[in-house]
Amino acid sequence: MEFNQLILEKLHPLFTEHGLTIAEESKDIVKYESKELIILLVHNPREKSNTLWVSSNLLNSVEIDNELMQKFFNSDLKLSNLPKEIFINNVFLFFISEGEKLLDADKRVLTALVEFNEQRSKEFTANLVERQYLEAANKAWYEGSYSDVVRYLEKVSKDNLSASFKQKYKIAQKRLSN
Amino acid sequence: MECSLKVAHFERNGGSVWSGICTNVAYNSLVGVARTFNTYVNPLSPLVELATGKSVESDFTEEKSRVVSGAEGVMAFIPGGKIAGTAAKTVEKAIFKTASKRSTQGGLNLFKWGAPQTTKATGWKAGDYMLHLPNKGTPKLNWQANYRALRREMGLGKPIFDSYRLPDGNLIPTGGFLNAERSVLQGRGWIFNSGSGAWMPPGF
Repeated sequence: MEFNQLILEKLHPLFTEHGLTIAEESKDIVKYESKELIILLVHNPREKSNTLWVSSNLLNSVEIDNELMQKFFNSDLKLSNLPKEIFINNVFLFFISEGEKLLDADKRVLTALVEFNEQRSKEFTANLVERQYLEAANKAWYEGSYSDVVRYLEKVSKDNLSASFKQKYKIAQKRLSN
Repeated sequence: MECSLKVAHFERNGGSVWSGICTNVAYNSLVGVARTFNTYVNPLSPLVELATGKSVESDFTEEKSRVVSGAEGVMAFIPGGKIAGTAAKTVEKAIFKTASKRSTQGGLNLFKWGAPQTTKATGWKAGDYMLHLPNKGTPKLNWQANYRALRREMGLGKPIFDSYRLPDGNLIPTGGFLNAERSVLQGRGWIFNSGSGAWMPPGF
């Protein structure tokens, strides 16, 4: 059965009960909307993956993945890396349990969810960028490019520098001043 | 069937960016053009899909979301898009290097399929485009094609934008191909610049 048909069969009655109507539908994408809530369900045929986004405003939409299910909703239900039938079934189970308030467009839950997502993105990006600078500093160290070592390490929070990098920073600075 | 009728439908769903492009183009000529050019990376496919509401891959027999088609196509048709040819590429590279530092010029955008950030109608820069590859049937084959295309784009040495970001510029963690693409870039020494939202090649 196609992705949209599965949704119509399993989720549509639940969503319409909560005042949501279909705003967009194709074989692989179904978007439900109410005045306060947007639910977007997508099947990616190239990856054979499925994604659920929830938001009160499209630009601040939150991808509900396994990590978020566990850390925000304290739920063991999985939504990532599943066949579409199980994904749809788990979305249904989520919305009749931990996600029920979300389906009711509870503003406190929606706001907390958006904030959680923003914090998660902030940390993800900061970690990624710092890791990149550390790798670049390491490479510059082995190439003897001490100005780059200093430049890259100065972009990393001092608290996140290991003793080894602190030492490299000191030596690089010393070499540059000579 | 005229494109303008379909465009009105799209406008209800996401924006009017296409109205100027689509209103004078007939349905049949769009389909013909798409069949001719639907090869490896085809910037016309999304436009045709948007106009017709059918998937090019299915040879116009299956319905396709116009929100997705619009987003797929918007990349390829923003004025100042790809410049072809070796000489042009040299010029383009020089222009791009300056322009991207000013964040006024676009380029390849990595994307999360179907995400609101992908299908938004506004906020794109001149020259922005996405890779729209044909479905080869399995995730493994699709990833191989995707990887090859990404490596080719990386070889151009230009910044690669990451469109799956929050309004504050931070990347949204995710899985799938996008996560794998980010890993490829990172593994090859590309550095993500949250200010420009782009992955910068080593030494850029």
